[in-house]
Amino acid sequence: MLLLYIQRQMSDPPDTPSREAVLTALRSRMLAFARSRVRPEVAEDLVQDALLLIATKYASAQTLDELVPLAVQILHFKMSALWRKERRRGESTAIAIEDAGLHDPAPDPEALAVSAQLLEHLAAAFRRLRGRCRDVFQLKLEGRSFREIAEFLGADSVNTVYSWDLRCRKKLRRDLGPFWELYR
Amino acid sequence: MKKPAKGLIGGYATETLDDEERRLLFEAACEDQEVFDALVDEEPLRELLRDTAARRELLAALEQQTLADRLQAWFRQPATLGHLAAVAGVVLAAVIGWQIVAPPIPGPREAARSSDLREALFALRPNVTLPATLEGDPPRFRFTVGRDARVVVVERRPDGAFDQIFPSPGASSAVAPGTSTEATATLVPGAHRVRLIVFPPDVEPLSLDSSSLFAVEARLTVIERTYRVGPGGQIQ
Repeated sequence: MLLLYIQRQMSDPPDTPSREAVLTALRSRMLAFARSRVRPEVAEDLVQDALLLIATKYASAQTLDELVPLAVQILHFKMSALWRKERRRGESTAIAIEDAGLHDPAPDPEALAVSAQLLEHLAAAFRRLRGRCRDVFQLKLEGRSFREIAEFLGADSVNTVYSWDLRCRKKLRRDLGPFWELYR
Repeated sequence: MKKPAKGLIGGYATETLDDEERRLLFEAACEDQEVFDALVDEEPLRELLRDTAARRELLAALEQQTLADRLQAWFRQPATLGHLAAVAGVVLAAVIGWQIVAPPIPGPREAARSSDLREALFALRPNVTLPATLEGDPPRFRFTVGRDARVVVVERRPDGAFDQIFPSPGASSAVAPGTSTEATATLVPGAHRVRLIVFPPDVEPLSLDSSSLFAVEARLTVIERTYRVGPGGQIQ
């Protein structure tokens, strides 16, 4: 549905897809992602919970720009909470909305510990970066856009910076090795 | 996964995509499972980078030079090249029996100390990062302080070498309030970073080493400005 809409937009003046169109497309993506990581019946419940949360608590989110990051964030929260719960108590059922952690802005101690560990590994990997990769990551962390990075580093086009960034991220992930897998 | 979306994922966690890039990425995430999966996998990183302190820590890690970088920068210093040339000359003289006098070079300990300080000044976290809006040939940085202070301006050149561009050798770092002062950077093609560090008047920056510098870090103001010099020498 979204694809048809986007194709139509190529000839029509720019407009935004409806909330329903975006959520329909996102439902398929969320479900496929969840099924690739957990059992199918758990995946269904988990995505249903996530969509319910978007429909009730985040009813004000209307645009593609708001809905995609929100869906990604909620799905990630729910998956992480599910894995933590399974590890702690051996449970494998769907989790309650309250467990997603979205109601309380302060993360739980385990999430804090995981963040601290990720930061430590990333900082160590960043120290090992050299040359262009270090410049690209540094400029990104300073909040510069790809276009600004292209100008600053003298790239022929912004596409060149996309390629540099992609290569550097692959290199960083290789360097992080098994640690990265822990946070996914 | 389509190539344009693939290239954009790296800006998702750092939240540095512009509106058009975000639209392209999110449309791709709705259509392409690989893009959506990649976004979910980036989420821990995005969460982490939303924390300003974590971002600062990672920036500080990137500012630290590796041993290889330090060696590369050291080899590129004129003093080092002079030193190596002198050593090579002495070896050659020993081999073929000539006598030469090596040109005077700075003491290695003194050179190492000032180099360490310049490097350490770039490991500080900047309070302000300014856009590259420079003019002049060579580029000049004018600054004025509101009260008595000591100021050091350092430059990181495109080859990774560090240079102190204010105060000039032998001059004082003290700057009187309201006085317009100028520091001149280089026009070597490539990406430059210039840092202006304002010290309190009771701290003499040029006598600090890197450990004592970090002890007074909380009392400093660090302003960074970046610019790029094109192949024709024009500032971009």
